[in-house]
Amino acid sequence: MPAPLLAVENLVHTYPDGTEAVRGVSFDVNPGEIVTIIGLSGAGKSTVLRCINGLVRPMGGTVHFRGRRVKYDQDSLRHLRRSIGMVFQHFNLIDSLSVLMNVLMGRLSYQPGWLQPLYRFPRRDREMAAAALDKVGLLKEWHKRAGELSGGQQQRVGVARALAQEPELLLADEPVSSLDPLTADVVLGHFVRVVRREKLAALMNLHTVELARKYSDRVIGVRDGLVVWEGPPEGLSVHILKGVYGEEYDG
Amino acid sequence: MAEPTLTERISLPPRPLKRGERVWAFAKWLVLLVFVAYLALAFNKTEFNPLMLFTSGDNVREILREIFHPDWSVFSQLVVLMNETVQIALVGTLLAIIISFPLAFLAAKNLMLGTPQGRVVYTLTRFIFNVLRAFEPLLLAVLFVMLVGMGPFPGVLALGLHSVGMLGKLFSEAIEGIDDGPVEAILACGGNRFQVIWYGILPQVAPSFLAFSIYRWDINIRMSIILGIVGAGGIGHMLMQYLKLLRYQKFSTAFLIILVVVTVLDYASAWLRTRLGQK
Repeated sequence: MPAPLLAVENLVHTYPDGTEAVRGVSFDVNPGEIVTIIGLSGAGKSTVLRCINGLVRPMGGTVHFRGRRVKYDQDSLRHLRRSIGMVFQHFNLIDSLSVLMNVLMGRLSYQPGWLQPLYRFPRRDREMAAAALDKVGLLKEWHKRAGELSGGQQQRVGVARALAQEPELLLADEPVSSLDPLTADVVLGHFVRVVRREKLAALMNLHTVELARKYSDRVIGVRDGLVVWEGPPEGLSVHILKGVYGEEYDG
Repeated sequence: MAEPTLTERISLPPRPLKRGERVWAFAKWLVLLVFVAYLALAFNKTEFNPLMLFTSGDNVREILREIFHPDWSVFSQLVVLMNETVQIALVGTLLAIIISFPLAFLAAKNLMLGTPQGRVVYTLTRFIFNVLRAFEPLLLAVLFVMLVGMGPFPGVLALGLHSVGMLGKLFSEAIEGIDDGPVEAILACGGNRFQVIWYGILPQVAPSFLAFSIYRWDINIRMSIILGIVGAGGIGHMLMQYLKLLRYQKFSTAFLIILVVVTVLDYASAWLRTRLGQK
């Protein structure tokens, strides 16, 4: 067994309003593996993802990335986030900037200080951004404003931004929930192919069982802030899914 | 042809009365009554009498006759002064933009309320904006004319300071209205605090910052005419002089120049702002 790329142990987070979003979650992600977390809205899926790159600071438990324990001070986090790309439900692009500039955001942590106020990036970074755009098939659109693109294209820009970081792990928080079902399948299929080709690992939250079955190596079922099931996608029986989503689940 | 079937009709059940609703209804009428009475007194107190415009007939006719015959001999001199007025507004506004831009970030709730220190800075900056807004430019101009003497510079200072308060408030509210998504994305990419502001927030607020600035310049041009009256440079000073010395023909020239310039710049500003809004 190789050492896991990501090891989450007994993660706990409670929001200031008292919501116990995560109540002791543990799991691993191995190099090159695609893991999906499923569960109802509010089960704590998003919080788990955000605890891994420190967008949310966990209140208990540990996260190990590449065998190193994650520290939550600003400097350590910035360093950690270089190696972990993230894709968001609402894409989180800057609509008024060009597609290329949005992808270059993935290179921000390498941008020399004197270039920062100028919206300029070294040639190497621009070429890396172009390569990332090529991987998602949007190289031709590099000069368009991000807001002009369709939803599916916008999320591919979001993926390119994460790829431009040259990460080892991609976090995807409901990456296709704001797309129509057909586009969702296409975009997610594309995402998974890129992850496989680049030999990256990915941890996703998905809200449809169908997509989780189709695209993951392993599935983690979360309910009320706890892991209630973990196994290969073939193991997702109606019985198991009722355990994750409640008795109302009807396949 | 058959009668179309009507949907069933029922009357609405009575609306439950809220607690104290009757008292409130009565109080509202009482307040309205008091206000109307006060308004009536106000007309009386202000000696409101449109007839006065006509009863002092000779005077009005004389003034109107002169006003409709502007004296163009002072035209070029006044154009120079009008130009100064526009420039006072331009420099004052620019000064205000430069000062209020960084301050606005310190007065934005969403950026500052996270830490106790941030809270202190936020409250302090907001307080400064409020104080600066409370001082009318005209009062500030009187003050600065006393401090640095007559001329355009006190006008610049007066407009600049007051506009810092206005722009600071508008800018910081624009920052408070941003979408957090891009900020989150830039944090997740490992961006530092400066990059969050420069790449995550600035592109979102830039159009409204520009629109507010142009609008402020527009207001300041009109304001700077008034400031001339207390000796803070520009065409306002001459306008007041002509009026005091009963030079209505020259006054008329100044008035026309102001009218044309203000109207043109007003349209230009509105056009520019709609262009920004469309982008």
